[in-house]
Amino acid sequence: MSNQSSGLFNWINDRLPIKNTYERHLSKHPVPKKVNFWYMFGALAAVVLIIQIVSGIWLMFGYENTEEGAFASVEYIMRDVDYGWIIRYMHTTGASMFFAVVYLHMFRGLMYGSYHKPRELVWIFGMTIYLVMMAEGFLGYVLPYGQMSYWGAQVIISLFGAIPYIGESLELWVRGDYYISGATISRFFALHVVALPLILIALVFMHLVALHEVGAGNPEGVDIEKYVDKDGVPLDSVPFFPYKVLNALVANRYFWNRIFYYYVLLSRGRRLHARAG
Amino acid sequence: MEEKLNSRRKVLIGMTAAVGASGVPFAAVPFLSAWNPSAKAKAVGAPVKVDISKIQVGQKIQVAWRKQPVFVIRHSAEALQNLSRLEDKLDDPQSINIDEPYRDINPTRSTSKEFTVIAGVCTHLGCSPKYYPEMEPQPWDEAWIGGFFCPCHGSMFDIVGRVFKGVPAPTNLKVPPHNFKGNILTIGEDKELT
Repeated sequence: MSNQSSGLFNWINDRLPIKNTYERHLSKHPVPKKVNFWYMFGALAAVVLIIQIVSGIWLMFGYENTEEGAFASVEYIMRDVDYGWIIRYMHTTGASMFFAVVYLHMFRGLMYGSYHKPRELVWIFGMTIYLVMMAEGFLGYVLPYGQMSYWGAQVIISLFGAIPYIGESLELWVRGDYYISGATISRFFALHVVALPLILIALVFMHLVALHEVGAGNPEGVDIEKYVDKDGVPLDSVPFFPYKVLNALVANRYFWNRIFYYYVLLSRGRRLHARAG
Repeated sequence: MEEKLNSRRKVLIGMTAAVGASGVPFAAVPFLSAWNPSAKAKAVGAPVKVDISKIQVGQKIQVAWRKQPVFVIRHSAEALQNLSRLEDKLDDPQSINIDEPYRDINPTRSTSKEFTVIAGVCTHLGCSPKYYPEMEPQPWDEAWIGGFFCPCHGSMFDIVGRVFKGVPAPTNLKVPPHNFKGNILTIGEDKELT
């Protein structure tokens, strides 16, 4: 445990495994050489998750989770907060993009059989993440409390009502009122900004831990552990950092530039146009 | 001996875990109950009372209960007699497909022989159907003998809220729980309130 060299870093490292973690998950984490374009979307999804968390926190500065205040506070964010509009569009478009990249990520998994032994748990955690994302997306959709939110909530909550015997009381329990009201908004807010993000982050953590335990797959399904050098490093692999991180950065550069900001700015343009017309 | 100790230890661990787990439902009660409608929400959603003595024959009034429109209609004897004429045009004249609270008591579908109490919310997409009581040809029905027409998507209901065949609305308009006592109609409560 104790280290010959000195310095603040080593003092910390003797007590917190920074170097080990960094090497294990980044600089020495072996990724198959043959992974292709399709293996990029996991990293992109992680970036979207961070964008959602950051833009979400910023939206909370202005949002009010009451029946009277919800819609007006969203108008306030859009019109009166400096750059509030772009933060909100980042969050709403980001949510759609989250699903887009996750669908591509899942498609990769199906195409290359990423769910096969030994990656079953990686797949199951991924599916659970997807379920939580859908719930999270729905809850967020309701928060602005406009027409689309209200009737969307009406329809989705009514799904519970289809359950025999307990359906109607379950609906009442979910809404917390006899109709969608401030009670529904405030609980949806709490779930959207605290409960589900915590679960989501925990699941993402497990998804990654499980993945790093067994390693990423590759299109040919080659077992890279079969041929290793004298240090036990697979010969057909490259370290995640910097090689795959560079790829991810390039992909991000294209993804965000081409799709995300373009879309966000278009939304802004449409809105201004609608206001002028 | 060692093995015996180990199995004893397992039993003890299991028992401790079971005692611990038995606390979980108790701890869960406040957290799950907090999701129920609060006392405030229950007060706002409490039953409403309506004086029905001033409603004219053939007139419809609208009452708000739990933020929903509820229609109260006073029918003429003639209009009620006409109800049976419509039956082959209706999708579910006996209200078999829905949870009908007062089935086969009165043709009005309520607990009164004269008044109908129905939720004014179209069972299609939640618009509010309009009341056209006159027996006269309408753009949507040549042989109209009075009823409700939903302006959103053209669903038709008779004067007691039973849905026509071939319209978007899937079921009859809902009958909310209610009771009559003298001239007072209470919407939202089956039994008389003390």
